[in-house]
Amino acid sequence: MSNYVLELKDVVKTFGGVTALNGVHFQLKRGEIHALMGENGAGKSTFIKVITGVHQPDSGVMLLEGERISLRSTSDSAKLGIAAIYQHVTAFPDLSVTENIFMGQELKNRAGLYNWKLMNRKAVELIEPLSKEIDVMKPMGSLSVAQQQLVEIAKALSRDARILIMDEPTASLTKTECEELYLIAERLRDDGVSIIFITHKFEDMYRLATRVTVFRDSQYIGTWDVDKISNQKLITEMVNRELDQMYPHKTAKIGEVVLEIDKLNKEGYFKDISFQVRKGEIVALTGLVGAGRTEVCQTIFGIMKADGGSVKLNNEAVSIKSPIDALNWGIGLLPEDRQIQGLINELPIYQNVSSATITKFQKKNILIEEKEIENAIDLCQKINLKAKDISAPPSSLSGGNQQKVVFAKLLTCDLKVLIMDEPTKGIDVGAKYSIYEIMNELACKGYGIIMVSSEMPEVLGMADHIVVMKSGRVTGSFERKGATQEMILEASLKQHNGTED
Amino acid sequence: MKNEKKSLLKSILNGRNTGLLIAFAVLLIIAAIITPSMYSISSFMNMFQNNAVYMMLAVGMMLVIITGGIDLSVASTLGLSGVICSSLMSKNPEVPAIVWVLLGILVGALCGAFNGFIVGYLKMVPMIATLGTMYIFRGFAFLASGGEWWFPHQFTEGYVKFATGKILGVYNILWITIILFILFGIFLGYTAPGRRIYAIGTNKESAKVAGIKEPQITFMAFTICGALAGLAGMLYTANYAICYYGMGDGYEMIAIAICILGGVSITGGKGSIDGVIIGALMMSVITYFISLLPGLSVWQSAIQGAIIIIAVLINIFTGLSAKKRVLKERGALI
Repeated sequence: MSNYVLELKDVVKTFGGVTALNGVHFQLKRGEIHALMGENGAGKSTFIKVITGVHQPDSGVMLLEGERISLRSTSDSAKLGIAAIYQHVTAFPDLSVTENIFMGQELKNRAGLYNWKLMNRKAVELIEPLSKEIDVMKPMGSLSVAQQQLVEIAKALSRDARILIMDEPTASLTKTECEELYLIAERLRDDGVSIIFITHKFEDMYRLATRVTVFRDSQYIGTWDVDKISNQKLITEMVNRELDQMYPHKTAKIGEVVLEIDKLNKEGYFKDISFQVRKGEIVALTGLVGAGRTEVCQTIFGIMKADGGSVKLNNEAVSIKSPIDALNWGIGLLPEDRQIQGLINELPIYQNVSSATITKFQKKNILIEEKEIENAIDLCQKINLKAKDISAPPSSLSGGNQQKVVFAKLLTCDLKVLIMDEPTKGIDVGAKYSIYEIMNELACKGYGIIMVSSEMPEVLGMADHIVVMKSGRVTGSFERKGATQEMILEASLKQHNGTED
Repeated sequence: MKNEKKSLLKSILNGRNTGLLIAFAVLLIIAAIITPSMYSISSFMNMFQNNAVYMMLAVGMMLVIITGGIDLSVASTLGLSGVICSSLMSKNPEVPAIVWVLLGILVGALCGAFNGFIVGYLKMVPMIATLGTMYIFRGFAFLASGGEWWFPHQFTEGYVKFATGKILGVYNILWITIILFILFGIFLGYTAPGRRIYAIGTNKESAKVAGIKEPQITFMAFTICGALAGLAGMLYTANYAICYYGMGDGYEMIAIAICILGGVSITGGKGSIDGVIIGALMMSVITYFISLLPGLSVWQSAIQGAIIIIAVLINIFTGLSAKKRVLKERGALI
C-alpha cells in the first residue's frame, strides 16, 4: 500500500512546440491539503488537466493508490474519484443548479427518464451544508462566482470524490467568502478527501495547507512542509529568474505628464484607478491575469465606456467615446491578441500598416496605393521589419515581426500615448529584444507608454514606473529604482482592505 | 404528468412567455371584435390544420438552434420527402399509408444525418452547410419528381386520410402534432440525449470537460430535425393532396421565425417546447387573422417580419438587464 493517494513522476506535456510540463513530480498524501503554487504560466493549469484526463501526458507515470493509471477522458478520472473545480468555472450557465450538479450522472426513474424531483431533493441535500442561500432550481448563470464554486464543490461531492482539485478557488472571493471556503475545505479534509489547492495567495496556503509544491517555467521546483519554509524563500523559489542582458539600456529623457488617469471606474471590472504617464516614460501595468488591466486599457482607448473618473491629456480633460476619438486625441492601443485585434490577415502587410489612417493616403477620396506602400516601406525599415515581400499577408511573418507590423500601423498615426497590452506575448526571446528596442526608441521620441505585462522580469527590465493591480484595484505603485519582484508579487496578491463585506 | 403541468404553468408565469401570452390574448380579443366569425371551432381547427406542418418543422429547428446551429434545408427536405412518398404511392396504391409515413421519416432522417455529419464531424458552419444542402435536396426533389405534379385524384384515400381523417373530432395531423409536442417535451426535459442538446449549446467547453461528445449530439439534433421535416413532407402532401418538387419553399424561415418568437435563443442553449407552442400559436393566429381582413392581407409578410423583430428586441433587452445584474453583483466584490 502506497503512502500516497496520488503520485506523478516525470510528467511531460507539450502542445505543438511549446512545453507546458517538463518532467514534473507530485505526491499527494491521504487526507491532506496540498498547496500548488507558481507564477502565471508555470504549468499548474495544464497539470490539473493531466490529472483529470482532459489532456493526456506525452510521457511520465501516474499512480493512484500505488497503481499505475492512464486517463483518456474526464469520465475516466471521475470514475476513479478525481474531481476538479476549475479556475474559470466550467458550468452550464443556462442550466439549473441541479442539472449542473448531476450532469453526466443523472438520476433516472424506471422508465429511463430523468427524475427531477429526486435530483432536486438530492441537490438541496448536497448544497445545504455548503450554503443555505442557493436555489437549486435557478440557472447557474444567475449565481455569484462564490456560489457557483460551492455548486462545483457539491458536484464533486456527489461523485464521491477522493481527490479534489481546486484551481484558484479564492481568486475572486471576498474575505468572508474565503473564510467560508476554508471551513468547507477543512471539513472535507477531515472526511478523508485529499485536496490539491492551487493558489496565488499565501494566506490560503498558510491557513489550509500542510505541504506546498512549487512549479516554475513548466518545471517542478520542490515540495516543502508549509511550517518549514519562509515566505521569502517561497517567493524566491517561485520567481527565481536571472535578470540578465535581456533588456536594452533605457535612454529616454522623461518629460512632463502627458496622460493622467483619475479615479476611473467601471462597474464590475475596476474601481478608482489613478496613475500618470510622462513623456518618454514607460509605465508598466501589472498584476495577475484577470486583475482588470486589459479592461482599464480598453476603457482609456474608448472600447469600453467608463462609469466615472476622468482622463486628462496634456492637462486637458478629454472625453473618449470610441477608438476613433482616442486616436484623434493621440492615444493608440497595441491590442493583446494581435491575430484577432491587431492584424487583418487577408490584407497585405502595407495595407495593414495604413489601415488605421487610410484617409492620409487619399487624394480626392481616392486611395493612392503608391503612397501607402511608400509609407509602409519607410516605417518598416525604421522598425527593422524582416519581410521578404511587403504585399504578402502578415501571416507569412514570425510572431515578432507580426507584432512589428502592428507597431508600424500605430506609428502611422500621430500619437502621444501608446498603450501596449502584453507586447511580447507569444514572441520568442530573441525577437523580444527587438520589440524592447523599439519601445525604447519610441520613449526617446517622447511617446508616453503604458505597457500591460504579466511577466515580472519584463516589468522590472523595461518600466520606469510600475502600477500593480489586483481584482480591479491599484494595490501598489513603485518607481523602478528599488522595486523588486517580491514587492510586485506581494502587491499583486494583496487583499484590498475596507471593501470586503 | 402532474410535474409536467407544473413546469408548464411555471414557465408560462415567468417573464418572457407571459408577455407572449398577453400579446396572444390581446390579439385574440382584437380579432374577436373585428371578425367574430373567427370564433368557431371549425375555423380554429382549419387554422391549426394548416399550421401543423410549420409546427413540426419548428420543433426540429428548435433542437438544432439549441445546439447553436441552424438548418436552412428543412423545407427542401420536406419537398424531397413529399415527392418520393407521392410518386411511389401513386405507383403502388395498394401499399398502406403507414409505409409512406415511415419512408418520409427515413428520407428526412437521411437528409438530416448528412447535415449532422458535415456540421458535427466535418465542422462546417451550420448556416453554410445547410445552405448548400438546401439546394442539393431541392435538386434531388426535382430529379425524383421529373418535373411532374401530383393532383388530388392521384392520391389514395388511405394516404390522404392519414392527415385529414378525424379522431374525436380532431384532425389526425393535429393529433400527430400534439403527440410530437408531448414526446419532444419529454425528450428535451427528461432524457440524457435531450439535455445534452442544451449542454453543448450553453457551453461547448464545459460540455467537453463533462465528457459529452459534442459531434454526436450535433449529429443527433440534425438527424431528428431532418426526420421531422421528412414526416412533415409526407403529411403536407396528404393534407393538401397535392405535390410538386417546389412545395414548402421558404418554410425554413417560418420555422426559424416561430422559434425566435417562442424565445429560443439563436446563440444556443435556451428554448423550450412550450415557448415553441406559444410561438407557433402566435404565428398561426396572426397569419389567419390577417388573411381574414381584406385590407390587411397585402401586409401579411411585413407584419410577420415586424413581429419577429419585436420578439428579438425583447430577447435582447431581457438579456441586457440580466448581464447588468451580474456585473452589479461582481462590482460588489471589487
